Amino acid sequence: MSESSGKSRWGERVLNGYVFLMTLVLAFPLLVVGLISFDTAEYINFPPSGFSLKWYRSVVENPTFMLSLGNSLIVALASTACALLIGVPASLVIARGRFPGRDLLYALCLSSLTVPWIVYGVSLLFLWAVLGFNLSIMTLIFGHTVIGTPYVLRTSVAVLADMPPVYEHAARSLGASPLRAFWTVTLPLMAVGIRAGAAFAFIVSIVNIPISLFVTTAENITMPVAVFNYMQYNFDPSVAAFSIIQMIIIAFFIVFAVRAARSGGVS
Amino acid sequence: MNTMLAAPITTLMVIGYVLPSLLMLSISLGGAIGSWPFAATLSFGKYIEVFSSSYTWRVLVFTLIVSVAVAVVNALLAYPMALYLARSRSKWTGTVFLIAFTPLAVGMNMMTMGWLIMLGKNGVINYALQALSLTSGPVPLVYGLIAVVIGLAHISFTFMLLPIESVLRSIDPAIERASRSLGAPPWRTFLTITLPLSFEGVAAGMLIVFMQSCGAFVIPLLLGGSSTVMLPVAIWEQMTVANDRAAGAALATVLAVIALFILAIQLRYFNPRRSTQ
Amino acid sequence: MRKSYGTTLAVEHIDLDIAKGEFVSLLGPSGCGKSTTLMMVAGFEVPTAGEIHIRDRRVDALPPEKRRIGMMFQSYALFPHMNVTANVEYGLRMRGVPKAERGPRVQRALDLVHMQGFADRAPRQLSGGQQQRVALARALVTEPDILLLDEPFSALDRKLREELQREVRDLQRKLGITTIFVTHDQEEALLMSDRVAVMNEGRVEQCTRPQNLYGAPATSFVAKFIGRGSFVDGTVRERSATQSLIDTAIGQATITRPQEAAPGAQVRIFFRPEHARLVESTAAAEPGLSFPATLRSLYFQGATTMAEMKVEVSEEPIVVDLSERSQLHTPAEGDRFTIHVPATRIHVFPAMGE
Repeated sequence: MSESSGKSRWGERVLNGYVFLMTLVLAFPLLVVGLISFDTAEYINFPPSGFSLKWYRSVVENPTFMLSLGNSLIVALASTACALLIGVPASLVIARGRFPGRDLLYALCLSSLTVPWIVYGVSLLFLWAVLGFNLSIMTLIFGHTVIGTPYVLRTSVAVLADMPPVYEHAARSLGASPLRAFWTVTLPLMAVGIRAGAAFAFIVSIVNIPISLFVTTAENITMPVAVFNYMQYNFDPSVAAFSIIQMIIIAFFIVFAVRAARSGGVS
Repeated sequence: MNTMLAAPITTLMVIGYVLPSLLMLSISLGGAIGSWPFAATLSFGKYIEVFSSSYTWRVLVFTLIVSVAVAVVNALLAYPMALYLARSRSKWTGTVFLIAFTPLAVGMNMMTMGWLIMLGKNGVINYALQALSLTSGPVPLVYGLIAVVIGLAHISFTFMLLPIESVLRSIDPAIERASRSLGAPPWRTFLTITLPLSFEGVAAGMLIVFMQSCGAFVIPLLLGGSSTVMLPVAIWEQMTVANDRAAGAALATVLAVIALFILAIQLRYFNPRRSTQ
Repeated sequence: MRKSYGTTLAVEHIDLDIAKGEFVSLLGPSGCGKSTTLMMVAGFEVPTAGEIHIRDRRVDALPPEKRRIGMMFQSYALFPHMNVTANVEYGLRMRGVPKAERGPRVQRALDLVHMQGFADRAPRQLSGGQQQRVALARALVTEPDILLLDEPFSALDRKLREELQREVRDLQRKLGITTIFVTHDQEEALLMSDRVAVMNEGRVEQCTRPQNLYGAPATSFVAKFIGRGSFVDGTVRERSATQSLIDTAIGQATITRPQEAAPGAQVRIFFRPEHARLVESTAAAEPGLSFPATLRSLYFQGATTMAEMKVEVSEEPIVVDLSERSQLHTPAEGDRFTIHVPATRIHVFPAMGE
């Protein structure tokens, strides 16, 4: 008895040690990016040779970077909004409704999650070429909406599938019209799924490179594409500084989404 | 329930997913850009041309081998961590989850940057090796196979971790207690009960990681070199450098077919609701 | 109030009048159509044909929110994102009751169900019984024309269930609110209702007072579903104005209850365990049915003791209530007895019914 529990305690220690080490390995590449972004050296070098904010200044002073930052925020917010407006209502009929082709539609939406982004980039480029549309911020928003909506749909359907329709029945029996029952009961109870879907849609937009690369123009360039282009030819700590700025924006949005959903009454 | 609510998403998926896919197929089969799908006489000419090149085969085989390797490496690395996350009551599990999630949220540029700093000539690992006098000069780690595998493993780690963790969590603890009560020590219980029961999660994770690696673009391009071109990079080269859109469409179609094949396996063998992407 | 439905798959034909203030149960096995019926009254299912009236108002074309109903659900269905007050207030808000009026009405509804101290709690902080009390307050606060109860007690444990059954019943009487109660628990239905409608395969088999349901089942389904008893197959030999003779494999039965089967008809006779008496000898003077049987097994159930008796010609056991047989020697398994059922206690059903 004592021997076996002693052994299992050893096994536990080894496992804990491994997880600690692995967590460090996962976190370290991100920590060094933060470290290097404050370096004084002109090229990437470890350990850093000093502390300065000059790379952050160079990001702020780089017109392409600042243009791309604004574009990325517009595209990410607009495509997330579109994904929510399209995905949430669709989740209601897919989770609750009965119509021919429902399963096919849902399978089609989920299958799109498996297709690599570069395939979207190529095929959407062909779409706009065939339709004769010029590439603009609209084609960019459209592309990001296409990949973001299935995430919203999936998380919303998952919440609805776990939520018995009895809540809606209760609301209706108490005098709420279908629309008011949705607004006062269903939607607040879906908040968890909508929030997760919105976070996914925002992230896949703001980090996307392969699609944006194909359906964007120089004046509509997004943040990750600008960094990507820069990184192909330059390798200095300004990329690190810009990556940190991007990370802060994403973290801010996710925390904001969580807060907004909490204040909506669902914990 | 008003079925019209499904109209916007149907339109979106048809215009943004189905139609572009058909156009891509059409162009790979010789359809002209600017014409409607399949208007021109179709031919497999582009596919024959692309697959006559040994470069294409090298890229394809390299993509598949690297993706399998990444899936295997990740399964081995993620399993113990999934076990910890499924079983531990430590207050640190939240932090571990958060760190495992970061690759999804920070974007490929930052991941690339991080590993360039880690593996570069003047990077963290070479600094450590030289400081410990293990090597006299810098070891070439970056711009090759090692860097690509490490980078891909890191960006897809979460996709391996979550399915295994969820399967392990769903195993009824009474099953393991039953095994112990029948005289099996913990390690035998793990090998004969827990591990076989969790294979479904491992297999699901490996499929997703494999597909993530096959479709990865930035990591092989920026962390690798001319010897580590993977399919998405080859597509990009065809579209931009070579400016051969039909060849790009043919290669992208091949990648899409691989993706749909993986999807078919997922649907056939796994509960689609459990797979996490 | 009157409602009737035409043919649907779930509910074949229902024609039921419920008086104002009456408590009527829909009782039946799962799949009998009782829930579908309730859902049609509530408006969540649309009847294929027929009409539903609540208080002389035809409602079958109205959506649920216009029917002035109050409803309780098996899973309580309290809105998890609202506290107790907000839950109870919800119906008043939806019906446009002014804010100043809502507060006192919510207060009064919570008082009714003894939940006045829990106004600010979230549903998940309440026990199942407390949640169901709040659900009752929420259903009653709008003063609905009719209260619909969809198995509201089945998720509660036995003691709590009995407590709430009594409370709901008392409150229903006090408020005089017309109530339809769906349940598969016969004890609950008999205990609470003015009338019980036993449903089977989409039809009402019988709708009457609980006592009648037990004492005078109209069909063999009702006889079997409510309480316990034994069936024996037989053929009608004679029928007169006062009695019938029925031949069965275990003997000839004399029956004084009125019955409709003509001589020659195949029937099933039925009697309750408490009406079957063990007698020592076969010499039965009273009319009825007497037959020899062997005691197969005894089941002690506290207040009652049931015996399963084996008769020679049939595998089907006869169930007899031994609770008042203490004057006899304690019976043991394997003992042989003669069983007698009085002629007034034997029910006759057509053989086709089952």
